[in-house]
Amino acid sequence: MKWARASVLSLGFLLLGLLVVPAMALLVAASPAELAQGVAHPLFGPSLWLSLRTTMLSLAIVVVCGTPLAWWLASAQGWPQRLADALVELPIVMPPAVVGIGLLETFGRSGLLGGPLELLGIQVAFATPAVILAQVTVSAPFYVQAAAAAFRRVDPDLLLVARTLGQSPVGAFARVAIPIAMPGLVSGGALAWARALGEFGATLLFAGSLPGTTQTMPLAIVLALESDVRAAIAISLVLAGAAVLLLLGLRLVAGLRPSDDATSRSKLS
Amino acid sequence: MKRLLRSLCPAVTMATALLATGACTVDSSERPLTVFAASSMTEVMQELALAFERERAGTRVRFNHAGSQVLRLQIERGAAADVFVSANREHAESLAGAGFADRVTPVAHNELVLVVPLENPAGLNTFADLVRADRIVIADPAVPAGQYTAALLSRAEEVMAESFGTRVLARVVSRENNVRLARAKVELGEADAAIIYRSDALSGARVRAIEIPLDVNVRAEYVAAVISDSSHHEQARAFVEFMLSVGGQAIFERHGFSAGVAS
Repeated sequence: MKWARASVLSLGFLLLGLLVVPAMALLVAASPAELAQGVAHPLFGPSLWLSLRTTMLSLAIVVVCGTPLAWWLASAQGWPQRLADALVELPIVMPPAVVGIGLLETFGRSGLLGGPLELLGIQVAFATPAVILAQVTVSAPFYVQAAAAAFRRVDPDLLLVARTLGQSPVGAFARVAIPIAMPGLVSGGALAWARALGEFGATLLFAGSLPGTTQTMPLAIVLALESDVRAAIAISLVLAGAAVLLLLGLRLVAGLRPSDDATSRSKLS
Repeated sequence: MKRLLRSLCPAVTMATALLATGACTVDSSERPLTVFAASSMTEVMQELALAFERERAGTRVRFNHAGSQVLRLQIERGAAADVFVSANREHAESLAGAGFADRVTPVAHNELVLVVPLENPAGLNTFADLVRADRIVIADPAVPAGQYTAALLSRAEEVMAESFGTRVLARVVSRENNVRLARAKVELGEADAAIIYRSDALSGARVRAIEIPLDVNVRAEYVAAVISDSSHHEQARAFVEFMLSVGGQAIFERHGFSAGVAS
């Protein structure tokens, strides 16, 4: 059955090739001089800085709000959880442009919350908060799902033991569940961050495109494509390179985390 | 292992079938005439194609719409196009210069107008009112419409008020990749005003157009070129000629474009 194994595996490698070859082709298409030109392009600096700032902030929001949600989703299997579980996936199945229109219909001037927000003097559309809201909406499902899956693997007995040793429910969650689930949380966070960094469709509609304010790297790349393809390729390569480095770094950190039962138990004492 | 293989079988068969249908080259005589046209021409091109298909029985036309620069890139990378209709002369000329396209022919003109939402929250009635708008959306200077807008604003500086252009630019909240996106922001009521092509203002149901004075306005030129290695050379040329015919020009005018032949 060696040949069968090999032929099945070759299907997998075919897919791997499809995932990797376009990035390699980009690399081949750009010379170092062009790369330097891309980095020096006026669109490059402001959009990189904006993308970094907004994705870090949206990741923080996703983690702070997504962790309790994921814990609730994992803690029981009643109908509210099952319904919420399905609803969390909504932004994944909707085309990003549709998410963008939905956000406009919610936070826009004529949207559901537009009137009250305007009274408070808050303008969301066409401003940096719109970029962050769009990123949070499209990226949160990836984190929440990964975190819920990680929490489901936490043995409830361990939490019980922690409670008998005098931990409050929150204490048991923070000092037992979180450390055990950490690898899942980190990889979910990395996935969410990557999705936020690449976010394009919702931002384009909801936030618009103004250098330094709402023009993130993906928007700058598509705009550069309209005038200078070489610059677009160079900016894409830098974006891809930064993403790969950060994702590899996160994987490394996640891999090194002590997450076995022994260490989490020792923390209780 | 066997079970895994068996369960994979339908998937593999389907994938192979998909690949086969995709890769199977369509006989070139049956392949429709493929027109790459700027996205601002989406509606007018549909109508031109219908009229052209009626005139020449058996001919079918299909479109690929995107920004002119993206279309040019696709053609340079070997996309199978027969005709290229560009929103600016430069892209078509550069294709012709590199041997990708034949002679470049102007087919229509367009002008810029101001559009406001039907509710008109900023209460704009003339082009000069534009400085009163809070949120203005324009096309980015990287795309043809944005270059025309920049030219328009600098002419407004000369003709109208010294600071007109700067004051307008200070109120710009977004510079869009294309005119349709700029129009969408007005249609959704998020922007007070946008500067877009007259043809796009006409095809948008939820916007009101405000004319821009002739001494300020600029003329956008649309050009067409037959792609050199087209397998439908004769049909492609006929389509360009059809756009220039009385019937073709009438369709352009119905959609807010003006005559292609310099008047």
